[in-house]
This record gives sequence, C-alpha cells and structure tokens, in this order.
Amino acid sequence: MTKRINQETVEAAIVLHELLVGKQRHTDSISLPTYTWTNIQTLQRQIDTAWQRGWHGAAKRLREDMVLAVSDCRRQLDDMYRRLEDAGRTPCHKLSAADVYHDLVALKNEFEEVDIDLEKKELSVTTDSIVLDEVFLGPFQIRLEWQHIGQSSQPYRVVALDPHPATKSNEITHPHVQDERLCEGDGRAAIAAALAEGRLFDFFLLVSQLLHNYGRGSAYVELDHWDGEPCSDCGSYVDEDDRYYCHRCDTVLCDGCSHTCQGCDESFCSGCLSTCSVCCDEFCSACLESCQDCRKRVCDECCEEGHCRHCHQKQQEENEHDATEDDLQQEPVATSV
Amino acid sequence: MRCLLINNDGAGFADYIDVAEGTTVEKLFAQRIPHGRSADYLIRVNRQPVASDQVLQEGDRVSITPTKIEGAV
Repeated sequence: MTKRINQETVEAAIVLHELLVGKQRHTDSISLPTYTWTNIQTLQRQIDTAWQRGWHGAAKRLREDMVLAVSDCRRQLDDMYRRLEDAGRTPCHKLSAADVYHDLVALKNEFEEVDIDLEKKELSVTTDSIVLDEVFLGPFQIRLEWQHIGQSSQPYRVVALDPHPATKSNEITHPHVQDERLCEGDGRAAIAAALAEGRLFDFFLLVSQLLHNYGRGSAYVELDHWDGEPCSDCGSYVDEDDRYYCHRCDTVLCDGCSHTCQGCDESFCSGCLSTCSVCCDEFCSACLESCQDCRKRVCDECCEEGHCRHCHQKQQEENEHDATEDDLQQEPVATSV
Repeated sequence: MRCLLINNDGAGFADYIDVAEGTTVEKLFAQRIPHGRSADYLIRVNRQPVASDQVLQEGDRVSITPTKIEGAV
C-alpha cells in the first residue's frame, strides 16, 4: 500500500515538476489588479445610486466595502511594485523533481488530507478545524490550481469544508477569506515567492498559517461581529438576541433605530414610517389614511369622518356658516301694518 | 558548509548561505531573526520539525515560517 502511494506521489512529482519548471520560465509577466479595480468601479456606481435614491444605510455599507476594496487594490499594487523590483532576481535553487517529491511527502505528514488530481491539475490540502477567538470556522481545503501559477495573482482557492460563514455574507467563511479568495496581507510576498520558485510545501504552510491567524482591524468581518448583522439604518452590528426587524420590509434594526408605530405598536425602520400631518407622531402606512380633502396622511385619532382635523374643522365651520345663512333666508320678513 | 535558507518572514526568497560547522538550528535562527522568538516560528530542516539543538549538516534545507502571520482584506 505504502509502495503504491509512493508510486503515485512520484508520478505526481514528475508531472508537477515539468509544469512548475515551465511556469518558472514564464513568471515575468505581472498580473494587474483588474478584478479589484472593476470591483471598485462597481461599488462607486452603487454608492452613487444609493445616495440618489436616499438609501443612506446602504450607501454607508457600500462605502465600507469600498474602503476594503481600495485597501486590497493598494496591497496588490505594492505587490506589483515589489515583483517589478525583484524581476531581475532569479531563484538561486534550481527546482528538481526530487524537491517536488519531498514537498508532496512532507505535505502528507503535515496536513490531515492531501489530494493530487492530475486531471483537474489541482493539488489540495485540508487543514484541521480552525477556531479563532472562540469562533468555530471549521476545516478549510486549500486548492492549488497549478495551471494558473504565474498567470493569476492567486492561483488557489480556500474552500470551507464545513462552512460557518459570517452572518453578513455566506461568501465570508473566514475573517480573511471572501469568495474563496484569501487576502494574504503580510504573507503576500512570501506566498508569491514560494509559488514562483515551485516550493509547494512552503506555499501550503504559509496559507495554512494565515488561516490560523486573525488580523483584528483588517478583516472582511471582525470576529466580534461574526454572528452580528448590520442595522439597515445605522450600519452597526447587532447580535441575534438584540435584533429587531422592520414589520414591513423585514430589515434588521438595532435598538436605537427601531421605531414603534404609535398606531399598531409594531417595530419599523425609519424608511417605513411616516409622520401624521396633524399630531406629528410616527405611524406605519397601514395606520395612516389620506384626508379626503387635502390628501395629507393622518392617523386614526386625527381623522374624523374621512377628513383630517383641520379640514374637518373647516368643513364644520363652513357647514355652520351655511346653516346660519339658511336660517337667515328662512326667517319670515316683517310686514308693516 | 552551505545550507539553503528559506526565510518566509518577509519576501520569502530562498538563499544559499554559508554556515559554520557545528551550528545548531537555534543558533542559526538567532543569527537570522535576531529580534524574533523561536516559539513564534515553524522551523523545519529538510521539511521536518526538529529539536532546537540539532546540528545542521551540509546541504540542509532550513525554512523559517512565522506562525503569527496575518491576512488582511
């Protein structure tokens, strides 16, 4: 059995070696951060639209996403700068098939599971279950798609095998992983160097170490807010126990942004409440009706016989005035004898 | 003697270095990462975890990988 596994490893090492050496000759090309830049442009358009439509909560959240995207773009540009500076430098160690073989063997000792898929051209390792700051994130599979080495800025994916994503988004499975892409942060240069030099063991070890750490203040979602959801009005994170929901649009609200309709006593977001034109208290649309005369929205208490208090009073005054005039007209005319 | 040193605490390039005979893993670490604590790094010789007092041999491949390496966004 051991012999057969070794045979497979040897075959895989030979194939991988040929591919990696071929890639080493073509790693001069620098990948531009086009994906991130396109994302920034999209966010900018979405922010403009949100402001135009008065969706202030959405605009605030999009602006936060924009900050992260710009930060990511800046890191990628820094990386490009470093790679351009190092472009003249060639690896001092010539990669051999034996190196790749030893890397594969070492990976099998280091990780719980190692898969080599020659057809898919994928080499994967599985981490142990990761728990950061008492938040269980589960095991991750690091999948290196080796045909993309030297062509993509990130030729690998980080897949959550037992995902426990942030409440904010199912795509955020780790504080530093979104859409199966790891934001490498401090490890970016070392990871790029390991891939460029075909050092597979170092590459997987670095990615694994990144997954076992948490950079507070620079995460897609901070672990303190992992199970929290942003309030749709102010954007602050609210834990499940402290959450309110708008009775009309079902968005999440914090205690401070949850407004109570003075008619039905249900909770609503600020966008789903209006003020009564007469008493100025807040009501939901179901608890307000339009005055038949002035069309202003009024609450039940300020509405009498389909009219707001002002129009009702005005109408009463008119009615009284009409009645007085009628009375005057009906009074018998005094005749002189 | 010469050893291959891979310092993943930064740019991560591999370099051949001259090492004095009898140099231990701990001593090499202190020379290369003077302000670091060895407990904060995975130190591997020929891809295997080793004792800090292991004496390095000609052609050894030494990799130093920080354990506290943080991602970003």
